[in-house]
Amino acid sequence: MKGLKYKIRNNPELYAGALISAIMLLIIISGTIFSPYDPNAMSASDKFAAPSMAHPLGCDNFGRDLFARLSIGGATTLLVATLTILMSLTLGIIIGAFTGYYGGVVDEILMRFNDAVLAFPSILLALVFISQFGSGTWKVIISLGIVFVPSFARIVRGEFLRCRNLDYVRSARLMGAGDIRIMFVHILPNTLPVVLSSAVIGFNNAVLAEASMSFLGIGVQPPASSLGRMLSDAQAFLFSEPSYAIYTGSMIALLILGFSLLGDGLKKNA
Amino acid sequence: MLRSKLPITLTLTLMSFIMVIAISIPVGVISSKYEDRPGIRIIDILGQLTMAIPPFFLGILITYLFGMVLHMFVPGGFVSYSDDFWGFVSYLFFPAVAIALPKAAMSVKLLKTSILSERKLDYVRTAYSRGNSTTDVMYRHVLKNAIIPVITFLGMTLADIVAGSLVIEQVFSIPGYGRLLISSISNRDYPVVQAIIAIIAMIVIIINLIVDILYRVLDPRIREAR
Repeated sequence: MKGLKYKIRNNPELYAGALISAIMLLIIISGTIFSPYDPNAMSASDKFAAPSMAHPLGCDNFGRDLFARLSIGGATTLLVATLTILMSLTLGIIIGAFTGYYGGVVDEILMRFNDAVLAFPSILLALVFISQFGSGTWKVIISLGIVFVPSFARIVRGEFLRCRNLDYVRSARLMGAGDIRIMFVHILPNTLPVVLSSAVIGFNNAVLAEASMSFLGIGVQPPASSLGRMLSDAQAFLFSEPSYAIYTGSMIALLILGFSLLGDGLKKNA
Repeated sequence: MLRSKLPITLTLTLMSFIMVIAISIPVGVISSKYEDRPGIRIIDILGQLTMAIPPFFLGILITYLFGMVLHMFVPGGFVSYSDDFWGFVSYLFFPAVAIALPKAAMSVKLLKTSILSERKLDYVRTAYSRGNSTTDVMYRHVLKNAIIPVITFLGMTLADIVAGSLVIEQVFSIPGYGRLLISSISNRDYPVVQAIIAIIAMIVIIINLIVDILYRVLDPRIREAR
């Protein structure tokens, strides 16, 4: 058994990422649950109030407590990203498992379709969906969820392709296990390290995509607060109140930094 | 309407793409050459931080620092290319930096990993034993092989840069395809949305074609495989 110090030196990304993500989660949870302020309650007298004991990060242009809004915005972003990844991961695993395990014509067709989607910038594709179906939190989740399916499908397919003729799969087949059982009970757990690290990277892209879409004003719609939307509001007051934009942007950057380090670390471990 | 806006988005995309290449290749080579020096560790950490900053936030930071504090450009003071070409290019410089920096950081990281893994291979030792200098080995042997995955990445990046420029146009209020696309989506002006998406799809396809051709030029293994 090697000590924690050795482990940290060996894979600093993993531990730094876990630490940053944990701190961000803690901030978001504490701000969402314990903040005494309603994130949408306006107060004309507190407009751009300076940081104080009552308002740790000050207030925004409508006198709303910035810390409460940042936490609830971060929570929205995390919720969108989590649901997006859950959706695309489920679909991606199902598509990847069947195409990788069986191969054949369906596999060829689906993978060419996959290539076409992957070659296209994901945010643009999500914008196309939004332009057709309208904006709103659920529509953002569904459109991003669909856009991220191909990247997972490709990774899962590659893993299944690699595993489908390995010895343990053959012996499971000899023991009379059905295809579905082999796929989801035998092969799937073996692909988890790779799939998990790609899920974290995908999560990161989802955070970025959601923030960009809300920044452009076609993602999460007000009154629901989201970090991207707040940043685009803050840009209007950049000259007089730069701290508003800097806090909001740093929140997004730190979220992404934490999860990208975590993803790198998991990839190194996998 | 679309034709007059095409040069704006294309110039922005090309400028940031050139910046990505101009930053990432020298920095990647140098940081793999001196991988253990403390200065390089700082570059690594800076790169990791830059990768995490979303381009639109970087754009806002640049607007604040270079536009409002240092007065190096006028935020929102876009000049059309038909009026003053150099004014147009110099206004696009900072937006291009905002798109290029995160991508350059990713590409530096990729190039560095790629060079480090290539350097361990046998042909490098052979090249040294034949009396080549470090610089010769790096540029004539290692870099040629190490650049292949980076080119794949750069091809994908160019598509991302097109998408990124759509967002950055909003930050720096540049009247290119991005602003048009966003306003047409909010106004439900579907023909315009379709036209812009079709044009961008075409650009992406052309980029992918160019990358595929570049592979054949650069890597004889692919050239002779067919």
